[in-house]
Amino acid sequence: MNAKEIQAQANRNRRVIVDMIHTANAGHPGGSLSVIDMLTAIYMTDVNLKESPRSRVILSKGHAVPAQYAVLHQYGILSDEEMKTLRQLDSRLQGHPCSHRLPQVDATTGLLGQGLSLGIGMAIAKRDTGDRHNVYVICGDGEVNEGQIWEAAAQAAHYRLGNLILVIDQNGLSSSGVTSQVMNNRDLAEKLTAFGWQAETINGHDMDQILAALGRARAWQEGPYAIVMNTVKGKGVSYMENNVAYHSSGIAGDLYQQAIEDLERAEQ
Amino acid sequence: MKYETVSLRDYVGKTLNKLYNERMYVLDGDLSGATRSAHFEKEHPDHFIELGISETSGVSIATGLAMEGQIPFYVNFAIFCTGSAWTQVRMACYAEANLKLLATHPGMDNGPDGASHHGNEDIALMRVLPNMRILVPQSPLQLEQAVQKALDTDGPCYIRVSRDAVPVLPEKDTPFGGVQVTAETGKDFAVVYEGTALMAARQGFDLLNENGRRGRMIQVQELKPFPDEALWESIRDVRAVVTVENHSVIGGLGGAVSEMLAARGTHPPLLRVGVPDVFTQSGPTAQVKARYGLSGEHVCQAVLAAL
Repeated sequence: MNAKEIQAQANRNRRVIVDMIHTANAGHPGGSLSVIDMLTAIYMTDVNLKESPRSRVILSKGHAVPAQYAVLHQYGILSDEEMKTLRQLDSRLQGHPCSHRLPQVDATTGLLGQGLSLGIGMAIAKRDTGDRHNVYVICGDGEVNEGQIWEAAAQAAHYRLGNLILVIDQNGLSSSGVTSQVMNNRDLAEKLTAFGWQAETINGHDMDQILAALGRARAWQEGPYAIVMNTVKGKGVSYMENNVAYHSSGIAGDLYQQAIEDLERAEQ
Repeated sequence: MKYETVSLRDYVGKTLNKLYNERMYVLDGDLSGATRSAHFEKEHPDHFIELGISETSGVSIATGLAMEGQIPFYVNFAIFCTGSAWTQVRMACYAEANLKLLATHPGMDNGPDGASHHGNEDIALMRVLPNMRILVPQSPLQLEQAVQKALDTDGPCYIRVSRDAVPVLPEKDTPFGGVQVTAETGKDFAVVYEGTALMAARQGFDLLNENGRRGRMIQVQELKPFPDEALWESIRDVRAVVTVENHSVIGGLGGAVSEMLAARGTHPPLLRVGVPDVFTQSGPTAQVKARYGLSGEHVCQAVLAAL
């Protein structure tokens, strides 16, 4: 699987995300579009959904779940019809991941800050049972304001969990504005390094960089590994890019047409 | 009145050791000495996870272990298990995770530490969560039965364990769950209690008998799911019911019994003994309990006033 093929799939997944949120007329398009390149890469390189046990993907920034649904749709877990049920009563596609309705999402999340700790528990269980798969946790850069993240950061390093990989989707915008102005995280890779992690910062929309970083993260067995990725919120849809209004929003009418045109142009 | 007594927390680590299986983990928040989970750490160091002072992450890590098929027991003080990490517990319940919380120091069991450390709200906080089970033993045998029941239950459980001394009653070899009549002399009154309030319940029962009143002591072993029918059948024929809890009178045992009785139409009057709607303070444990509503005298006076 080469970078070009994975990027093409990620771009198709972008269309699926936009279609879902358009049909539901609600959701979180900005953070779904910023994380989808990395998410697609993780699944296509290290997650076999037909296997058990397998590598796990915890979407701690659970509001970006349309991205995870798009990947599950890519693998045939979710049908075209079911994709239209996002956020509707009795749907498996809850507004935030719900693992007892849809086990393939791996974790029930939504309340920010809890996913890294869930990942530590899974990583310890895998280590102790000789399961060689990895545990991926994906957080937002607004999410890491949460104190629980830093409790977990210390714990993961303390227990040298080499099978735990944290991805921080640093798109620079949280719900109300620019992350650095809402609450400045400063340099997250430096902070995690100080906590005892191996950490690096990459461009989260450059598939070559994504694949290389994932390779280094999996190879690193001495302890937990963090990939801080600089991304663009709303990536791929011109009017959504770096626009905080699309943290949480439907996609209606002409704006939907515009989004589809933008994404089709990128696919060509 | 003098009773032979026992502090159940002394059996926490030993009971977990006795029932150990290789899927079990014990997680600690720097209090293994106080909760006695240290006994487990000594025998099973590879399945004991020290997490430092971090209740929120600790509960979520336990949940993550459960999601990979393990059986985690997060052991800490009642206020920390349920209050400090409430949204983490809530998400575990939502996820139907096989998380076990085992709490010591419930209610005012550590009097000297004061209101910050008194766990007078834990039952209310756990009772409101769908999927949660609440088990309250009153003896070492019942603690073992409760842990076994938690192991046999696929889903979140909260086990409330006394730190303060409770009287030793004759053991009944009955399965743990629902309600158990632990003493019976007649049907003037019923003392309905949770296991960590056994001392006040027993003293109140004995005082009432000394005053010529005859009644029943009924332990509610499971506060969730609440044994509505079984409890109703055991109290419907008495003239007054008093609930006794090492907890606020709001939202706990008294609240649960109120909700049950309100749906029955005609029923005996209900008195609720426990902590009123105030914060407590430091003091010797027995004195704190007596000041804040939990003593045999409170139980006795409440029933005498109603009869």
